[in-house]
Amino acid sequence: MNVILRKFLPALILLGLVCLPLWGDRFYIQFASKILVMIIFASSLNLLVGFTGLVSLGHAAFFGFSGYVLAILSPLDSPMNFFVAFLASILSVGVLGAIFGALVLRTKDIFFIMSTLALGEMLFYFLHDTNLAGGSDGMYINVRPNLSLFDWWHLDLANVIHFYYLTLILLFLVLIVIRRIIASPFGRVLTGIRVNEHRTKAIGYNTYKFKLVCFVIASMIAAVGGFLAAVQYGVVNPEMVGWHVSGHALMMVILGGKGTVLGPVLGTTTLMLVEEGFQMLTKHWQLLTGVVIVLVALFLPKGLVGLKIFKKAP
Amino acid sequence: MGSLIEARGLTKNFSGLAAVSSVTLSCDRGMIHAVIGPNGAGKSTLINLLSGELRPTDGQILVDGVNVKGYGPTKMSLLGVGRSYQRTNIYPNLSVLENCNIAVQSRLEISMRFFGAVTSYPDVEARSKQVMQRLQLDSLAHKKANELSHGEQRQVEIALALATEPKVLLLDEPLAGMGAEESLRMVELLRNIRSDFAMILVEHDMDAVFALADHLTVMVNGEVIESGKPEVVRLSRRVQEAYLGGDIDE
Repeated sequence: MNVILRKFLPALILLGLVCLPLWGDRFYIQFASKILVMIIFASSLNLLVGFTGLVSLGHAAFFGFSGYVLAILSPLDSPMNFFVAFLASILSVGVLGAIFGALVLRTKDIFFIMSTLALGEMLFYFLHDTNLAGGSDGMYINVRPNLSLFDWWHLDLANVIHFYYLTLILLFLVLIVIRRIIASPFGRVLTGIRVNEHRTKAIGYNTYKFKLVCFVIASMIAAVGGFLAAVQYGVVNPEMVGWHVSGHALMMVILGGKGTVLGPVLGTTTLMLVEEGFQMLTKHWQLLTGVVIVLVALFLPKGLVGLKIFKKAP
Repeated sequence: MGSLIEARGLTKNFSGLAAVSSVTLSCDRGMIHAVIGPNGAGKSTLINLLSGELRPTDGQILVDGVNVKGYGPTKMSLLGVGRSYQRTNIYPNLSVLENCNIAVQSRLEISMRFFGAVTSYPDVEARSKQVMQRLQLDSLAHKKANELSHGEQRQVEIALALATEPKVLLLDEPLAGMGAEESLRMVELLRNIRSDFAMILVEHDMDAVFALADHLTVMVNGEVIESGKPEVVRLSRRVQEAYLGGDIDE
């Protein structure tokens, strides 16, 4: 029974995800999209935290900055071309990631955490206290980007169902990309760095270079999430780059199980559902969420992927 | 001179204290140059200098005739200087095979490939298997390194260095912490592979040193007090006073 269940569970979940908009009401579809977006973001962070051993508290900088690029590029009263905006966001975040990475990767351990936090907060205050991008109010994206292939295929990104499917597809692409990266020769070096960086250097790897490339890739994947978040809400604000968002994603990664592809998926879904559920129950939902996190930390030190049904999962 | 590795007047000061002072030595392919001395003599510092983990205060290191001034450990490794560590420094929660794979891959220009699975580069595993065979680790290939005995972990330590196909092998107390039987086995393994490398061996186990070394350098307080053929050095009065005569094994 268990074996059959395990075999068909992924297909069932996929089917459920694809069919969700058929019966879900608007709010739930939006909420589901929100979860999918956060899974993209948490998975990108997991590439650093879980696979390379780099704990970053400034990862939201890339998530938020990507949204800002879209907001800045979007004209006030006409739609931006989706592909142009998407590429522009991802690439500019890649550049930002290279600059931030080049600096923070000169440090290690707690100093690394602190310098990622510091750079992230610098970006936050830069956006918050200058008027270049709307200051503390942020910016609106009045018209969602236009996603059409020539004239025969068109997605309306203001439509929650269309947006949901776009997010679902991008999430799958992101998960496939991450899976392939960690299974590649490059991923093998990342494992070496995570397990024993000193030795990895001594056997001839320029670990700084590998970490930097990984950092840039992770920032660009975070940018996919940030771009989608900006499209979904139609607004960006400095909170999006703040450390709360980074910390939240870090919790999702750890709750689900760092260093596995499945971990951030489980962690994000669970945390967001739990938070939402408790919010409906009580004003003190954060207290209850905290209890859940502590319980998981106590009984499932490897995160939710440590649960029996996931034993054979990647 | 055609030495594969050579140190000339190598000196390292740690805030005024000379851990290694003006050490000159060389080693060629097929030769084992052992360095002995009491604790604190500067042997490990010497290895760290030769492997690029520490920068010398003064003096030169030549690898195959190339002056390697300013080279860090990564560059030294790529130049063909492999090393093992006194305290086992391997990938504990990975399998022996995967340990070797990581090291082998450092010699192939594939580490910046992101999309092909590692399995599409069978070369890596084939070379790892050769290395494991040479160190008699093949039966343990799929065991996690941290589940191995101490002696086996020390073999993995050497395997990681060998997997990078070095010309020069710097061994920092390969027998550290080993029992008599494990030591014999390791000596045998080193003897089997010696012909391919210029080996610099730091070791406390005198039986092993005299069984393996072609050339012996004795260090005390950072300085070389004697250097030459083991049989000759053994008889040196200065060495006997400073080291051998008193307590051979500490």
